[in-house]
Amino acid sequence: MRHGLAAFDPDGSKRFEATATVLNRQNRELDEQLRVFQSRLVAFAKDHNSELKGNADFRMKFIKMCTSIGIDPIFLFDKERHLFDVNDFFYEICVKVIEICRKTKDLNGGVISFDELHKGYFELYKVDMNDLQKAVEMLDTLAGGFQTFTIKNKKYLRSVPNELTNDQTEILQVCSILGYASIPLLKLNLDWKPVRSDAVLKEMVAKGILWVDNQARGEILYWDPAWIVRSNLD
Amino acid sequence: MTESLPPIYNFPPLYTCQPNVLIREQQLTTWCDLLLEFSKKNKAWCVNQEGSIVRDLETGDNSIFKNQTIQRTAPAPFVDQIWSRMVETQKAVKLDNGQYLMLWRSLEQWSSVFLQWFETAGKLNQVVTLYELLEGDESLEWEFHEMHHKLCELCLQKLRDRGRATLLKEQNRIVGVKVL
Repeated sequence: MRHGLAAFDPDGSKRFEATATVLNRQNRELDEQLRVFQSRLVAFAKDHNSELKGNADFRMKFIKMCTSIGIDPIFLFDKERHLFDVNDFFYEICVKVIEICRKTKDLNGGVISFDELHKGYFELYKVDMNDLQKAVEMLDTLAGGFQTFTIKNKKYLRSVPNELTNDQTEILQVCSILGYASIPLLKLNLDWKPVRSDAVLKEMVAKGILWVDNQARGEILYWDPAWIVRSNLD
Repeated sequence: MTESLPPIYNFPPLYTCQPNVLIREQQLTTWCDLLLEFSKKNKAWCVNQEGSIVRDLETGDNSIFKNQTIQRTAPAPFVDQIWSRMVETQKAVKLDNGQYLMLWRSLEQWSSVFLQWFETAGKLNQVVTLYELLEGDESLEWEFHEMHHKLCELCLQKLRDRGRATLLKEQNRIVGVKVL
């Protein structure tokens, strides 16, 4: 229903409605065309695979063009058919890994689990765990910037260039069970003296690896941010 | 009301002001994002200092700063910090009564949406009352339907500053608008 003077002007609204439908249709058509174009591009990449493989310059330009119209380079690769150079596929994963590590660095102090990388990001791109691990191995060539380590059969990636000490690794191990560590918990599990626990925990907070929680009853808890994703998966 | 918030909302240390400066920055940003998402999902135009939604004259009991599931509450001084960050980054506007207007879209974005409505509904060059704009049937499908009056006034003032609108006032309140 229309109110006020507008009620006397039914034709006007019809005209606008007509324009709106035209615009909507054009919008849909453009979307459709873009989709067709994108799939053609992917098909083109498959047909001219050998040229793309052979000519690095051509490949670069092609990838750049794809990115600019909204195709993520990772989608262009087809492992089975050795589309492009297979290494390029892994390089793209490497770039994504580095991006994610930088983005989440302030949140987790530069320590991220492979599960989180995979579930949170790479599953979307249909990249499986093995590909991810192979790509991360390739990051080794960056000499010291990235390192993987294992806690309770779970692999982690550290992207900040400082070594975790044994004590810190043990604390992360405790955190992997309940999400947190505390001075009493470390006494119980590892038989550490409170002074030692306190020093290591505080240091990890200063480095941004653990978050403080002072609202638990009777003790301060130190949480591992990896818990945020893990608690959500259960 | 807080069910659909991202999992970090249930991360216990989020409710303790973090001693590490870098983490605290991240923490404040996270809180701002949570507040905007909370207000957008619940279409809450106005939230009070304690984090409860204000609708008309009623105030809800649930505060976003109290998480029943994990038994954690953000302490008042930390809540103050969060709000000042919200205002600094123009994600909220503080009202004279101490409540906050939530800007999950910026004032500029909202005023463009208003312009769009005036154009699609064929309301250019005529006087439209604020009531018609916000509560009328013709804006039912629009995101700004039932928007807080004060917020609407701020957006319309933006349009006036750009020379696109004339405002009709009555006792210092905007009651109508004509968009050119």
